[in-house]
Amino acid sequence: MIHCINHRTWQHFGGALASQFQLRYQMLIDAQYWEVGRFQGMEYDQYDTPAATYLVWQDRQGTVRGSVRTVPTDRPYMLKDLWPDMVETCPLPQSLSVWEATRFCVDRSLPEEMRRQVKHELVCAFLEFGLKNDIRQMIGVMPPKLWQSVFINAGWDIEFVGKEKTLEKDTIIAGLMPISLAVLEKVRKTTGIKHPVLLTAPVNDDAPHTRAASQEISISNNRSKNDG
Amino acid sequence: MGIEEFIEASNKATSVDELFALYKKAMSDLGFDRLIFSLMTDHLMIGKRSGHGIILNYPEDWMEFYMERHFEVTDPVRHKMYTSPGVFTWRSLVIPERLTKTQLQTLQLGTDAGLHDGIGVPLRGPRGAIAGIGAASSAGGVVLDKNTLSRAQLLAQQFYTAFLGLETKPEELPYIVLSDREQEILKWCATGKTRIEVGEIVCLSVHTIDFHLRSIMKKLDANSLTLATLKALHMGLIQL
Repeated sequence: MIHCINHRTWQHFGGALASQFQLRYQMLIDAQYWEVGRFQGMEYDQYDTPAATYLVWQDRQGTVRGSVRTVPTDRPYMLKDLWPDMVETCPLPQSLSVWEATRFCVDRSLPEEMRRQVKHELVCAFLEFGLKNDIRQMIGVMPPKLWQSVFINAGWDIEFVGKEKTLEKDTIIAGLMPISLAVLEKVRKTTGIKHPVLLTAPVNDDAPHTRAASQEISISNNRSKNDG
Repeated sequence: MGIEEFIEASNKATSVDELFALYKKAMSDLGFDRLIFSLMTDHLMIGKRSGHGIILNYPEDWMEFYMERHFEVTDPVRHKMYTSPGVFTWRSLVIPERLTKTQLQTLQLGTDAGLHDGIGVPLRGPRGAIAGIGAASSAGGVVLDKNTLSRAQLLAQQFYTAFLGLETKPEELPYIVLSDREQEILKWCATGKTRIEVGEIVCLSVHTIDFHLRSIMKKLDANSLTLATLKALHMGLIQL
């Protein structure tokens, strides 16, 4: 399950907010040497504001092992501030109906099968969040291989809005992600996730990590069965 | 060895050498004692690149001579493998106005080397793969009637099927899949539409088209759209 953490919900999810900053530090600074803001093992930037919403997957200990950030485009956002030239085929969005997705991370130390599950749930959660909040599209800028492996392979057709740009360490491209029930249905069919995944509060007062734990156990059990 | 006997025995063969020995026996009953098996195209499913004479019992000196002069590039028998729907005789290729001097010479030199009454059998494999059998008689005197040619074709086909079975390692099968979107875009490109036109047809930006084309070219290990299209058609990933 994916927990939706923003100014309305963060009190329900313990240390999840700090934990997702820590995950970003591990995945972006430790692993990829990004030159970004840091504080006591946490990565942050100017878009981590009260307007941001974080979609996170937590393990049984409550540690965030997968996350993505999304912010509305009616205020400063990364693509518009840093790389506006990457959007060629449409005006840069400035609307509560279009949100930007950034900082997509999944802990690389997770087993392959669980990484895939976390990615798929984050993608489904994106769509559920968008539908709940009347968001028409997400916009994002990421490396082509991330677009392919996370979104396109999950069945989400992406509309690329400009040319690829080569940065120091990677190539990135800007894309629009349409949000609709039809897209959610297609992604659910492709990923095999048939149920809603987004939680804005723990269910039945369970701690967040307990919900995640039961899911982790389910995946582990399935793996044990397959290993025979 | 009759066809049914060869089918049973070849299906039980546990090595390519054993299979070829059985095939030689079956073909010698038809009068063909000189055989060459070539992969005309790459056979990804068995991890093999194209190669001339990967299994053969042609005269060694002839093969040395043949390869030194790179006859495999101009050999009309090899060329015919790509276009013929079935078994053909070498003598049917001897149409002077259609062959170059080198090609005519290759056929004659083959005969001089002891390859008489030659036939070629093209073999169509999975995902557009093509292989071929060349068969000839060292003594000559083979009657190349329809029945003989049909038997030779059936034997060659069974040999090929058994060969693929022996060489295929299921866990190593490379499996190329194009998504629905990729197939859609590549099909339009294959019909001659430009990227911009394809974008208009499928209602996507040219940048999205480019993204998918890059993905396609990477999957097919092609450095151009033309090559990617050819490979996809050849492998049956798209049809026109």
